[in-house]
Amino acid sequence: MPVYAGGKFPLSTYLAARVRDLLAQPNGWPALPEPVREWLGIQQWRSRIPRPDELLVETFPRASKYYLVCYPFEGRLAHQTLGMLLTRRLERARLRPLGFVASEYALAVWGLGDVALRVSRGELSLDDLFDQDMLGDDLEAWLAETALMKRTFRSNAVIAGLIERRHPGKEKSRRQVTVSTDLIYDVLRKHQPDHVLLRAARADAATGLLDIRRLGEMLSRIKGRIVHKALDHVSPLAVPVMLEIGRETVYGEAVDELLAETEAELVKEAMGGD
Amino acid sequence: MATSNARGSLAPSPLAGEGWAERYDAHTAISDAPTSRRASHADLPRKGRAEQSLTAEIHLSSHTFVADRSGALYWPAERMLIVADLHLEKASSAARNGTFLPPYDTASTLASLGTVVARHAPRLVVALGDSFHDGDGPGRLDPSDRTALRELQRGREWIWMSGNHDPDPATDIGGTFAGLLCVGGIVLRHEPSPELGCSEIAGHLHPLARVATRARLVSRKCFVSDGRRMVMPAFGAFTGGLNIRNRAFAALFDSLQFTAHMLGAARLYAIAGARCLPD
Repeated sequence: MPVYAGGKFPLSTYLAARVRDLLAQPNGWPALPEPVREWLGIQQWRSRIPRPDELLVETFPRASKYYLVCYPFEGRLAHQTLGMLLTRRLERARLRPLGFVASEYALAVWGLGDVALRVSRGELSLDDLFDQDMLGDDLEAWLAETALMKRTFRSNAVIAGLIERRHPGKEKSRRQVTVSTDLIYDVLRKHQPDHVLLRAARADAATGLLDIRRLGEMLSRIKGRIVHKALDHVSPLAVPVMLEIGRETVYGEAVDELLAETEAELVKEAMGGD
Repeated sequence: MATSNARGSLAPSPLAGEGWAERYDAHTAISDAPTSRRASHADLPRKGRAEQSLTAEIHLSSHTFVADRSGALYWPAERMLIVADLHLEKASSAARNGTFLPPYDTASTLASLGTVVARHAPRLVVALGDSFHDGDGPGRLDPSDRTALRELQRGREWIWMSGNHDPDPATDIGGTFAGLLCVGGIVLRHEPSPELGCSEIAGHLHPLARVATRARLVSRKCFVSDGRRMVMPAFGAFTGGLNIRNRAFAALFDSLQFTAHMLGAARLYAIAGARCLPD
């Protein structure tokens, strides 16, 4: 059901800068609690402590998917916008992104394609991936197609009373009509793009899903200052955002690839292979 | 071809002039038609030309069909296009009960149908029942939608099959009406029958397959086929699906011995019934 996530205020830029400084100064660590010191120590050993003026990007494989975790410290909204930007660019680079999750200080993107491999081969440039010029990416037009937008529309449709929530096990009465909001969204976009619910969803997206200005500022700040750490498993700093994956995920668009994979497994089994 | 109308009596064929009467079995000859072989690898889609396109081949009782990514089924040998469960005027039907869905579903469905008709250029289109969400649907058609429908019907035959939502023939929507068709030993009807004399293509159940891929669960509308019987996905813009692991399908297919041809964005994907998950 639509929930007011009132506790999730975006991290202010001042607080973000303060936290970045805190992390980057090891002689300030004794003031931190012991488990935190230990955690930071392991992070320093396994990967790297992000410096205030750089963007740390870690890549690692996990459970047959490839992860990219970066630490912009710009707040959830800007990170969500970055997630969409990266997903769009990774799609174009045929790296088949599957989803992303944003926290206040980090962003994790995962997919079927091995980003680290492409970077090591010189086929993918992280500078290009995090380029500040977003004009060519048609971010807002692309957003309209995404699962995230459909989810926003769905919340609005429920609030507006357009559809009822479907309760499993409840008898469908003759008067009730169940239609998926995804279907309504697609049809509405084609036939009445200025419908009030679409306008509401776009307005929600502009304020609640995207923060292009803050993202643009961040990208220009870290331009040329990206540090890549190719790891072979998850780093301590990535753990909190990785834990969010079960709770709040945005699905990327590589669904057809997943179906093709599953179909190929079937054919292999049928042919007697293993 | 002799067709049976909704009230069950045999009616003379309006299509006889094309020489079709000699080729098709009459309603009473259904039980004499040969049953086809059981499901095997033959109902996996053939790779090659079909692989990169929006269609996949499905075999039923020694006939070859082309399943379209839109949810329509084309029979090249008969130049017949089959679509099921259009549920036209579903939004206006809901409006009568106080639920005001955006009333563009008919236009959207007819546009999709137009695209697939243009792709295959059939001589005959068969709408396999529940073409309208209720019996009064034809009367509520928007003039522009009615014109679009007439354009689709131009230059080809059109048969409306009766469904549970629209059991009676209607006026002013063109075409002819039938309760059941038998073509080349294959029965076409709206609701699949548990007792199967010969091969059958039906709709009604709106099949949906749910599959665990490497990354997550994916649900898509699908064709369900075991080489003898096929259930078609619902074509209508506002139609959803019933999971093929539901009891309604178990009565029709032997213990998951079927293939689900899932409608992807780019093409169809053949997944074994045993790999499909319940809700």
